[in-house]
Amino acid sequence: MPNQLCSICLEPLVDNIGCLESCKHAYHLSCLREWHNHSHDKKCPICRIPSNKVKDLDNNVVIDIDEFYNLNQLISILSNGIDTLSLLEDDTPPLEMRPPMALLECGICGIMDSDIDKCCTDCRSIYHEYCLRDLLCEVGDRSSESRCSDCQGTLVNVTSSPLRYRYRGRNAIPRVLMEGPSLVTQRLYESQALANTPIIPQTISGGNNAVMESWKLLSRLQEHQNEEIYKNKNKIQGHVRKSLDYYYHGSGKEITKDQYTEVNKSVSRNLYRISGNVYQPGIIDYDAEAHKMVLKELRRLGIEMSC
Amino acid sequence: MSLKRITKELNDLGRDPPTSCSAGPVGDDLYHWQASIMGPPDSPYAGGVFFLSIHFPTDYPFKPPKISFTTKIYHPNINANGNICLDILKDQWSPALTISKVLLSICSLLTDANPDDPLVPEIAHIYKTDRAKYEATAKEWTKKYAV
Repeated sequence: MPNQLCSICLEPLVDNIGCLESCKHAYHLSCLREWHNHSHDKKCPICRIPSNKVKDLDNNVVIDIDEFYNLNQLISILSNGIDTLSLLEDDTPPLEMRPPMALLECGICGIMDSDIDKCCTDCRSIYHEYCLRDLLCEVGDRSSESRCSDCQGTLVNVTSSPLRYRYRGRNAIPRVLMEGPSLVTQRLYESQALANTPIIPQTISGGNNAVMESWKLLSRLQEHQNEEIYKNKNKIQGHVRKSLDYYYHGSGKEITKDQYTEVNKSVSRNLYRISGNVYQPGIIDYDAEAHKMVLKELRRLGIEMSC
Repeated sequence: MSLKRITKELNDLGRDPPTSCSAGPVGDDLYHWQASIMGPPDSPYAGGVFFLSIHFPTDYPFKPPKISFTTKIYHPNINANGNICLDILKDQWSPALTISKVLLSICSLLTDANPDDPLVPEIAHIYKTDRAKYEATAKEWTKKYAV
């Protein structure tokens, strides 16, 4: 489709093209998906003719829009519950519906919750302000509290609309789709089973009680889980810091603050992964593992250390 | 996406400006624009220049922009606060619409009011029952506020 623009984003249609079956109007699939997320009819944005199917031209597959839409609903309930609910209900959401932060992880502690309040305008990483503060206190310099610890980009407050950044960000949806059911998705399914209320069909037919109930249940489950994860991760990170402090606070002060941060982050993440987010001091020798990884990371950064 | 698309629309407006309307950002904030519409010649608003303020939501173009008149205007579908009753700005919004298309729609709303879906029932009533009086008042307001 040469020189044609997607009418939604006004960018050229090169790949990722979806063609609506009834009217043959083409858009980027991702744009269509986003649009179906916002509008619950299946009308074409250009001609308003309803289509039941959309053809993915890249892969030559026809996707049923209902399925497409269900998937969107799931994604959007998970990552942006408030928007979905308010869209369906056409009213302001109840107070207890805090903006859910289901798919958002703080770049430092890795915890997903609604306390996240800083977002990098460049790489769209998100953080807890208190984590940033902790991290920077740790390395003794608070001047860069307002910088992203990943890319040094500018951080902005996202308290009132935390999701816009990450969720609208480039990697949000693919992340959910590509990594298989995330912890949160699994919880959602579990909570559905518990409440015995199918979330998706209910949402589409316009009934919201089931969604709300499941959402509340999900939030509670998540809260509980997050507390557990937080405790575990904190313990694990303690070992990494212990190992790093030697180089940072030690006699020679051999590494810089930035290096400390970087190594701390990547080693901690690795350790979390290895431990499956569970603190297992009986099985894993955290001190030794952390030390090994720290040395490896430092070597990667081109710093040779004496053991 | 919103910022990219807004920038793109701004460039397109610069390259190919629509007749009788103009629009552009107020200051540095690309999410807040000001627009102007010339009163259509075949309407009682002829000769007037009407200013509008445009606020883009962060999820534009998936949600419609918020557009309101800042110039006072006597019209059955536009109230005293400048709010416009136009379906494409509400439930009939489509992401394929652009500011330029919306402004043109507003222009045609000025030519052909929709008294069956009024925002100001009093004006709609006059429009339906005493067209001459409506046109006179609209002209008077145009002269008073928009010239």
